[in-house]
Amino acid sequence: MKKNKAWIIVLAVLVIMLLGTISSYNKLVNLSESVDAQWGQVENQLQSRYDKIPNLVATVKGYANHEKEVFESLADARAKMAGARSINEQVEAANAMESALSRLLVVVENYPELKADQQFNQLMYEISGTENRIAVERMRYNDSVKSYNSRVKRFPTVMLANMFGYEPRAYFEAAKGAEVAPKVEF
Amino acid sequence: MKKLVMVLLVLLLSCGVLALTPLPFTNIHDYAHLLGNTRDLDQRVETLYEHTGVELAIVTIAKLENQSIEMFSVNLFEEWGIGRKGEDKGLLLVISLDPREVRLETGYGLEGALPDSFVGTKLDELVAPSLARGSNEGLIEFVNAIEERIISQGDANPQANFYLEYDSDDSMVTSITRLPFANLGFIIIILILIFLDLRFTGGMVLRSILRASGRGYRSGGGGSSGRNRYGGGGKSGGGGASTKW
Repeated sequence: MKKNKAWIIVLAVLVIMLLGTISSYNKLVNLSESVDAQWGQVENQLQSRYDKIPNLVATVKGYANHEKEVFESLADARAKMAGARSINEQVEAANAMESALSRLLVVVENYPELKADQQFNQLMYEISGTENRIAVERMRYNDSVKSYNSRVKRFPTVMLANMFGYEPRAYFEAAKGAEVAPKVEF
Repeated sequence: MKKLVMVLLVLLLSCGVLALTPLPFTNIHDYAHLLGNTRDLDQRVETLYEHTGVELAIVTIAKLENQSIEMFSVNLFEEWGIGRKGEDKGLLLVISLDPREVRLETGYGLEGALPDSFVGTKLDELVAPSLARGSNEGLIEFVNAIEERIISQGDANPQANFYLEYDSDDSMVTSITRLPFANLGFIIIILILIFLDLRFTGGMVLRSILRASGRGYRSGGGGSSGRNRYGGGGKSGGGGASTKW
């Protein structure tokens, strides 16, 4: 009789431990999924920036055709973006594009006729809107990585994470000086 | 001890800054006192809601401190939950005095109807010059332009007892009418309830309802209804445009 009781207690403890493990495993999966989903949002906005660049370049070229260097660095960054596969490569390409874009905006300052162009103004609003969206989705992505990583690294979830191959994710570090979306003043 | 008091004071102050709570019964949250008499503007924003179902919050702030107007807007938008969750058809207009900037943040659900270039152009044309003059007229015209655009893009979801009339090919709204008898059944039920209340409780329920709604209208000041605003869980993702004024 006594032996039975002991077994029941052991069994109960095991069941509780198993349930705890399952729930923390599920939490890990959920967090990992939300990191992926949030990265998808970032990618959407990066894509939308990628799509808007040719239009912008065409408009600026109409006024400032000889600023070859800036156009080349934009084209390079765009090619890099197209070839990027891993998240790290994408982040690198995105940052290259960001700095090329901000150089373009500096150049634009020298062309008052361009800044008076209605179509250019509209384009600039679209571009700075996209830049701002990227900044927002990047912030939310980093937040989701933060809560995922802190779970992956904390005991006892760290054992589960190791067992099932859940590794800490990389943050999307913004290029220096690019925390604020570029703004054009008319 | 002195140190402790300081720490508590700082904590208290930072709480005050963080928790920017919406003013009740109004669409205009003029914390920086930039807008003067906001009665007409509040009314216009309220009819925007009735005609399209779009919630617009207008917030003025004296100082942005160390954040951009873009980050301030996206955070406040999420904190207040403007628009319904999932639909995300909310709008937030932030006017800051230092620096002199204005931004319209569009909820996810309105990014299609209100592209950034449209918003930016209208801010430059209507809002910025009007703010510089110290008048609210441009803001009202801005709301007009937004409403027109939302309706023509087919994103309007008029609230009960409003009716939009479209032209033959459904592309343009030709008129917005308040339906006179849309609520006839509702009104009859209310009349029956009032009758029962007067008959059996001597009008107790009626009196307390009147008192409560009277309070709501008085503190509104702008004359708009006492409906619950915000808190629907709507989100934005940095869409919209900002400009200087």
